[in-house]
Amino acid sequence: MTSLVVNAPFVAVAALACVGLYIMVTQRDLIKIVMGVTILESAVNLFLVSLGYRNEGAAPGFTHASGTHMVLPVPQALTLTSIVIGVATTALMLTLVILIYRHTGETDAEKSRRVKG
Amino acid sequence: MDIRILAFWAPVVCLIAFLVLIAVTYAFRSRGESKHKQGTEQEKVFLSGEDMPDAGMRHVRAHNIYWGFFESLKQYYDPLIRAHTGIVNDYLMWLIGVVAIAGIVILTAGPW
Amino acid sequence: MDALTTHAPILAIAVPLAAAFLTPLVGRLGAKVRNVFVVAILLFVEFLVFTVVRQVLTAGIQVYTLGATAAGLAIPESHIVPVRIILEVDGLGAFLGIIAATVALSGAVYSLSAMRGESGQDRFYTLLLLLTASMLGIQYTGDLFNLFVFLEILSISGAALAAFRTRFVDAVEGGFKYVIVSTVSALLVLLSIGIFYGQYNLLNIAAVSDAMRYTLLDKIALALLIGALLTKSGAVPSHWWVPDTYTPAPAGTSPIIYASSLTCLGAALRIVFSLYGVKMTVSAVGWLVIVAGLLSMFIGVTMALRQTDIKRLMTYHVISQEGYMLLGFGVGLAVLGDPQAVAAYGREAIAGGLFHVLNNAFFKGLLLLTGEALFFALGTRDLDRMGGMGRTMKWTCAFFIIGALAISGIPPMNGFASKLMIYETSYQLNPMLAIVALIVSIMTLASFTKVFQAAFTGPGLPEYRDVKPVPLSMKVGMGVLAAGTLFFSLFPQLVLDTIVYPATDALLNQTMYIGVIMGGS
Repeated sequence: MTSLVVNAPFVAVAALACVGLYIMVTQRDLIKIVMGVTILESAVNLFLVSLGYRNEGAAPGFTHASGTHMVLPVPQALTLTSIVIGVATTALMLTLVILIYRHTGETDAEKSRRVKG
Repeated sequence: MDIRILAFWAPVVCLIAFLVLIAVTYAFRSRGESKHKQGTEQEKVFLSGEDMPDAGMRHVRAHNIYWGFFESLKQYYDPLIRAHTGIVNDYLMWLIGVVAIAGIVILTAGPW
Repeated sequence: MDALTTHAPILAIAVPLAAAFLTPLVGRLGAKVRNVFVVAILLFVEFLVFTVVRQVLTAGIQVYTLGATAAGLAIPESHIVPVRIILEVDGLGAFLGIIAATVALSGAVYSLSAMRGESGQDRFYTLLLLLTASMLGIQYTGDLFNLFVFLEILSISGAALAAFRTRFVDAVEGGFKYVIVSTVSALLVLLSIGIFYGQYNLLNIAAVSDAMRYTLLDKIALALLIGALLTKSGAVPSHWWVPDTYTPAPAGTSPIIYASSLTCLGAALRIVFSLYGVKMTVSAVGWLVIVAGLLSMFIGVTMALRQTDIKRLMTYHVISQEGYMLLGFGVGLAVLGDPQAVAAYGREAIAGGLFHVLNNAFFKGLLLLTGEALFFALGTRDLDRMGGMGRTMKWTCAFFIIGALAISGIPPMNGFASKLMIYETSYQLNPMLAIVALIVSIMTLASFTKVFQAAFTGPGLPEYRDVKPVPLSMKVGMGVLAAGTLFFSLFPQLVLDTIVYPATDALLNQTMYIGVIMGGS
């Protein structure tokens, strides 16, 4: 039972990743594809944060603390960087979706494509 | 394997051979007729007596080239062209497919 | 001067990064000032890259620790692992750096006149400098997360450059497909970095390689990394984004985006050779890479034969030539565990692959620029509408012939030298590999003959009577790459001994890569 509780964040990561990948592969609407990418991003960020957790750890806000058991700070830094990168890429993706809509009047991946082969 | 060993492929040797060939070709060409009458039939393109069509009709366009090759390989080309759909979802499906195949190969490989 | 030499690796990344953000400010002073600024920065980067190359060839692997004077120092002092971001430039990094800097310089010079009349040129040069900085960042870094960050910068700036001419719908579509596929690939890379950190508590490539135990999780991470990085480099069966993105890329940015794909291939090499090395099942991964290479070669060239859009045709050749590189690397990887085979043909295979990377960056970049030159002069990319340009666009025709002979592997060009190395070594692993490679080479020649016939030969068409040859800066941009191609063609052994074999030995020598950071610190 404890192992399920301990591993619950990782189960959530797997579920989120599967949901994100499923949306990206099956949904034809361009904005839904961008949403799928965002969900996959959240899954990876959750993975990074949860692997840093240490049982009964304090927040990593001290330097040279003795006797205080802390969670790992490095994954939290990695996650912050990843969130910021995610904002930038989501902005770029949505801008390009709007430009495609202006050109073709469609947000469907199949109907708005102009290039194939 | 050292490229130096294959001396006859060495670039400088190839260039010298090429220059020698150009010199020989030029020697042959200079022994031909050097004068021709301007503005007469000698200047026109010869098409077995047919009239010369205008430039747009004379030039063989790109989509006609290698037609026979494409026709004979129709069985290979048709599924391939159909697979290139241009839809983003298919691109991502193949990406996940490649990761899955790589995963299966790596996980089932023994310690060679 | 000494300070410049020690700090050259970080300056090569920081200078274009800072200059990218200064470009809009400099652009306020006028277009000419900005152009001079951009070209001057890229010349300085080229100088820094050659300084780094000289240092690596004479003094060995260069280690640059950000924030401390030695790799082992850390705050607080109780830590003993390398916790800082460390740049580790070995032969491979130096080799790829030359490609990135030279292609960026020639692309920028080409764009000076090709982008004339476009709006938003400040942002264009900002993106170009960002792309250069990100390529050098991936090539010089020794830290996994740093690799991920620069990979994302590369994706974002590459996608924005591909979609730059937003008035064309295929440009916007190409940029969108690139950013979606790149973001998903980068997320898979981040997932595998998380796996490494969770197991080993380390982010430095040399440190993780030292601690690597090849557990089940490491295998999953390897699969994720291979899938993601091969997609980013454009290998079949994940090549679908490549033609859509490269075709509408403006002016001189096609070769630079190509160099960024080669950089991702270099990152894959770093992962497979230096991070995992002999600890993984080399024959399985090696044959995976070989099969990807064969598929890329064959499908790339057969699709290229059918195209009537000149740049799309050349982009399928990008995929096909990547297949040659993957074949060379795969053969070297498959025999990595067997020292005799490595000495007999493995090292030659990897050297052939790396030499082909260098050659390709030059002659394929040149061919992409000639395609863009035809588009600039004629206003169309459709081969069905072109004809007879050999008389008016003489320089473009000459550069095209140089590039086409090189890519088809005709002696004495450099393409022949690197392909010969790949044929000879892959034949020794399995004869079928060399046979497929030869057939693909013939089909490459066939498709470039098609382009030459359709675009350059033939009678002068009346609609193109007033076409003028391309402006000088475009000729200079193409000329730099053509001069590089000719130089590598005339002196292949010199190039091999000076930069290619050191890069090969750096890849094969995983112990030294680890030892410089872990042993000496």
